[in-house]
Amino acid sequence: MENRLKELRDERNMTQEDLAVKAGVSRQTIISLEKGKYNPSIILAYKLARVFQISIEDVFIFEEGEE
Amino acid sequence: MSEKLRKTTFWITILILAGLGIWHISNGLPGFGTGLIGGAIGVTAGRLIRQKKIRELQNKGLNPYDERTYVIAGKASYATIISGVLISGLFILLGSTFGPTVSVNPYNFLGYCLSIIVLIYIFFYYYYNRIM
Repeated sequence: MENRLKELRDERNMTQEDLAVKAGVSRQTIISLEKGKYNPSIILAYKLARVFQISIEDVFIFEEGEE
Repeated sequence: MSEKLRKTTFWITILILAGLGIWHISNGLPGFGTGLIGGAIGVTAGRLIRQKKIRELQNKGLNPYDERTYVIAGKASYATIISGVLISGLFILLGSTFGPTVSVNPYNFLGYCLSIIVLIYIFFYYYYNRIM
């Protein structure tokens, strides 16, 4: 699943560590998410969307046939 | 398992190891006893260093035990079970067909099995940590 985490983070001048602290995860998790290696749980996706104050669909791009 | 229970279990295990080490030394097996005490000291030092690193991360507000850690641990556990079953099955099949009949010390044998399982788990944990 693709996501716009890096783009959103850059727009807000946030470091990976800042985002990790705000979402309550490790920096490694943010790195994995940005590289598209790890798909988050719905709770983490919600927390990340809340950090950017946008909806989950605006952060994560789900395409049919990915599951 | 809560942090308090984990800590208690760890220190009880270390005490048992060190106690057994002292017992072996006083009963004429200084090599084994020293090995046990050395192992207990090594594991304690390793854990204390790791705990310090984790505390530093937590003080920064990071969570080193987040959901990704549990996903990796789950995948590593599953891979360990599958490979453990396959390796054991193959070993039993080939050993019972072609291997010689040997007598083994069950405690040593269980120790080897446990070590192999732990090593396979560590291998898979690092593997999934790299690819995820």
